[in-house]
Amino acid sequence: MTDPGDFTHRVHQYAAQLAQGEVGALGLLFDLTARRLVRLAIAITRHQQDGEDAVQTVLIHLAAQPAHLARAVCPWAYLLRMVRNEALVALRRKQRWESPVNLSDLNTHCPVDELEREESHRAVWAALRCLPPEQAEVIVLKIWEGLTFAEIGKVLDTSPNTAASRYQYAIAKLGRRLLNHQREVPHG
Amino acid sequence: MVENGAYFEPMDSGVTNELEARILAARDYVRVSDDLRPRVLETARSQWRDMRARGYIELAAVMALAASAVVAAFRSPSSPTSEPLSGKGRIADVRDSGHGSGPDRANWTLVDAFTELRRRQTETLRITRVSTRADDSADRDVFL
Repeated sequence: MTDPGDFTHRVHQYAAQLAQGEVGALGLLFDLTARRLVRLAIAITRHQQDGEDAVQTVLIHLAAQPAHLARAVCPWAYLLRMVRNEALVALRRKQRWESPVNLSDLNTHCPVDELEREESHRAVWAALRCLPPEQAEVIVLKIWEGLTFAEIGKVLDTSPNTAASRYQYAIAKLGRRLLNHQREVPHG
Repeated sequence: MVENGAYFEPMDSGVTNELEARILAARDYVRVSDDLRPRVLETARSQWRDMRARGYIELAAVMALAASAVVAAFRSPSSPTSEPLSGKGRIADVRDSGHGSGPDRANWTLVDAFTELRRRQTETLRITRVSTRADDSADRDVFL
């Protein structure tokens, strides 16, 4: 896992380079952040294409006005918030509140040494898609991004208590769903 | 805990930790589509090109505006740097515009000329009328 301090420093560095008109910095920023941003966007929109469109919109907006990101106190939190807002816009626009029945639209990849765990990964992603967006995003930010509830509160513009509460609800729902799945697939 | 009418029992911390580890392991299962990077970079480059072109057009427009303002300032008659008009041109301008002391004079000259023309025409007509009358009386005398 990348050192959070180093990661934040690099986001800041690329944002500053972008603000100075260095075209190549956008590619570097994409390579550094796209995977994580797309993950969050998919958790909210529940569709790979919509999530990627949201990330694309945000990065292109940043390319046009990089000063906003360069001036941000915490550029990574700023970026997450932008993607989250854009994903919510995409979600409202498409009115796709129903979750997809399978994961066929997702671009999945499982390393050879993790093939036996692929079923478990699929179950996690399927369960995540069944959560309401405001709970799914907290799971992503807490577990996958390693943010504290205070930091999550800043990204989502809510109190840390609300973030913690949503997390508890979400983890309880995921637990039920994943335990049921484990009973159905004993080897998983 | 209550949410949407459903009750959730607090989970055991061991189960929660196991669940969190399982979720964490699935983090990289979904990856970014291969075409997203070129899509983003191409759109951004195209946007930069448009912005640069728009910048050049705006700069050219501003420069043209500034140049026209400078030229207008140099050609203005009230400008102290403008050249004085030549004598013939000035008379023509004064006559056309009808302003100032010169033009007044020119206008009155035209009026004088026009009055003189009318006077001559009147005189010519009076002579003609007198001669016509004389001819008429002569004819009457012949017939009588």
